[in-house]
Amino acid sequence: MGSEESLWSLVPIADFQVPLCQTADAARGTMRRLRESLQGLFRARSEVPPNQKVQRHCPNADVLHTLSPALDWAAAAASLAETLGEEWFADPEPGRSVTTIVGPPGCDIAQMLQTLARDRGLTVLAAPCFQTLLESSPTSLPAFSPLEAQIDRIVVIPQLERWYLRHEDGMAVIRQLLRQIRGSEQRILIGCDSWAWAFLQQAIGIQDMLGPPLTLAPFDAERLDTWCRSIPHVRSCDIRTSDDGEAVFPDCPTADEQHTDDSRRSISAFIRNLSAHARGNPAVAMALWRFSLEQPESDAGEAEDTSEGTRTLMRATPPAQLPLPRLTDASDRIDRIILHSVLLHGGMPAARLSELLPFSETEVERRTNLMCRTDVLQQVQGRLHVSLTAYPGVRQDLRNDGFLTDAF
Amino acid sequence: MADDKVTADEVSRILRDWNEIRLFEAIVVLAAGFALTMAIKWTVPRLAERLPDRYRFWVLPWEPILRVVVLLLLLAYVIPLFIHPAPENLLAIFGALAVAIGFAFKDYTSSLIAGVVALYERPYRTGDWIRIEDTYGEVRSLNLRTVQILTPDDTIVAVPHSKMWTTAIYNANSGQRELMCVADFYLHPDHDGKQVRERLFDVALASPYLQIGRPPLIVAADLPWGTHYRLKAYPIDGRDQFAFITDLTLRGKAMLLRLGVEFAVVPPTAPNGQ
Repeated sequence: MGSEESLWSLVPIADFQVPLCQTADAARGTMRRLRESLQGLFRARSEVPPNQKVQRHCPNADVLHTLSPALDWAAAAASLAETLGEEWFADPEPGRSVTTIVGPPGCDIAQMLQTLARDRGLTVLAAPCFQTLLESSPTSLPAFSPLEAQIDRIVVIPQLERWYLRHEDGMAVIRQLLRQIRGSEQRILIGCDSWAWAFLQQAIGIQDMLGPPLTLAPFDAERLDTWCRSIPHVRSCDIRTSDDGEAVFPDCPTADEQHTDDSRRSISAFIRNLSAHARGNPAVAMALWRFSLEQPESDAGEAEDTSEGTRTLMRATPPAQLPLPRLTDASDRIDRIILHSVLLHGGMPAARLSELLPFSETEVERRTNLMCRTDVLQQVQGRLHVSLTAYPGVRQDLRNDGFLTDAF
Repeated sequence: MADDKVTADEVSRILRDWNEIRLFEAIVVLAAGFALTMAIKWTVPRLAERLPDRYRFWVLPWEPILRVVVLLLLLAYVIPLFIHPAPENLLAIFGALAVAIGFAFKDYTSSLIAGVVALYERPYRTGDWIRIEDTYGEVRSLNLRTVQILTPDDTIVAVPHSKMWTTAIYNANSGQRELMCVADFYLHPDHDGKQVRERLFDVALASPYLQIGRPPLIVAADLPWGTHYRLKAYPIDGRDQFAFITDLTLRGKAMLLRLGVEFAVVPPTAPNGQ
C-alpha cells in the first residue's frame, strides 16, 4: 500500500488478491484439520463443538470497543466518490453508465452507498419487500420509476441482493430491474453482496450484463496494521501474542509519543496471519481481532490498575488457535444448505427461510436455533446472518462440500 | 507300491514337514491380516465421511485396493510357511488347486476373477451409483466375490462380480460427485411452451441441491396425449438425487399450477404407457 493510497481504495474484482497465510501457519492449520478428522473417527458426533468448552478471559465490552471501534464506512464512501471522480457526478458523458460495487459479508456496501447518496443528494431505489418478490409474475411486474424518468440523475441501488429470491418465482423482479437498467439513460450505482453476485452470475450472467464490478481493496497485512495502529487506545496497550509473547505492533509509539516513520515499521506475524484468515475482509478481520483479545487472568476486571508502566497488558490469541464458532460434528448437508441460503441472500429473516427451502418450518427453526446457540448464526435487525467470526470456517466448509462460493 | 512311494516323495518335496511348519506364526499372521482387512473396511468409509465431501471419491476407491494388497502380502507370507517355495512346487500346487476349484466352485472362481478385473477396469467403484439388471443403488463395498449395493429402500443387495461378463452395467456418476437427475412433467398440449421452458429453468435454479456450475437442461417431446418435459440437472452431491428430484418435481408442479397450465391425463390405452 503506497502512502498516498487510502485504506478504502476500490479495485476491479479481477485485481482482488486474497492475502496469503504464512507457510508455517498454513501447515499448522492443515495438520490441525487432519488431526481433527482422524480423531473424529473414534468420537461420537456431538452437537456441541469441542472448542466451545475453552475458558477464555475476554476483556469487558468497553475495553473491546476502544480497541476495535466500528469500521468507518463514511471514509469508504468518500473513497468511492474519489474513485468515480467529480466529473462523473457533475457532467455525465452521454449514454448509460453503470458502476457496480461488490463486497463480501460484513463489508457494508449498502451503508457506504447510502452515505454517499445522502451526502450527494442521489436518488435511492430501495428493494421491494419479500412478498412482492414472491408474488410478482412476469406479466405483472412493477416499473421502477426512477429508472424510467427522463430527467438526468444518479440512481443508487444499494442492495441488489434484496432484489431476488432463490425461489421458482423469485427471479422475475431482478430480471425486470436489469431490463430497465439496460434501457435506462441514468447513471446508476449498484451495491451487491459478493455471494449474491456469484449466484446471479451463474443464474443469469449478471456480470456479462453490467460489466465487471469494483470491490474494496483487500485488507492485507499492511492495511490492517495501519488501521489498527490508528486506533488511539491500541497505543496505550502493550498487546502481545498469547503463544510466544511477541509484540503484535512492534515499535508502536505510545499515546504520548510521536508517530514513527510508517515506511520503516515492521508488521508482526500475528497481523499477517489475521489478514490471511480474514481473507482480506476488514469486517471479519475486526471480528477476529476482537475475539482474539484476552486480558491476562490476574488482571481480569481491573485493567486500569494493572498497567505495565503506562501501558495495559493485553494478550492476543493467534487466529489459528482461536476457538472460533463452527458447525458441530453432528451438522449435515441441511445445515449447510441453510447457511448457503442465508449467505446468498445477504441475510434472511428466520421465518422466511422455510419458504425458500424444501424443509419444514419446524426443521429450519430447530436448526437455525442450534446454529444461533453455537454462534454460527446471529440475528441482526431481524435477519439471520452468518456471524463474522464463524464466516471463514463456514465458507471453507461450503467450498469443501461443493457449494457455490463468492470470489473473496 | 512304487508309485505310492513316488507320490509320497513328491508331496514331501512340496509340503514342509509338520515339525518345520511354524503353525503359531501362521495363525498370528493370518489373524493380524484379518484384523488389518477389517480395520481398512471400517476406517476408509468413515474417513471418507469425515473428510470434506470433495475428497470422498478420492478416498473410497482405496478400500478394495488396500484389502487386495493385504491379502496378497498375507498369501506371500503364509504360503512359504507350509510349502517349499520353489517355482515348480508353486506351479504344482496352484495347478492342482485350479483344477479342483475350477470344477467344484466354477461360479465362485469366476466371480473372484471378475472382482480382480473390476478393480482394474473399474466399471464401478465404491461410492458410484450403478444399475445391474433390476438393482439400482450406491456401491457400498467391493468384496472379493460380490459388489454390495445399497438401494434407495435401504436394502443391501450383493451382486456377484461375474455379472459383468454377461450383463450391461449402468454407472450414473463413474467416480464423480455429480450425476444427472431428471424430473418429468406431463402437460396438456394446450400451453405456452416457451413460458413453461423458462419457468422450469427457474425451478432448477431455485433448488438448493443444484450444482449451479452445470446448467440445467429442458427437453420437450410432443406425444399424442400431451407434452412430456424432462428437466435435467445435476445435484451438488449424487447422494441427494432423490431429495433433488423430489424438490424439482414439487417446485415444478406448484409453479405450473400457479401458471394455470393443465396437466396431461394419460389415456389408459396409450401405447407403452407413454
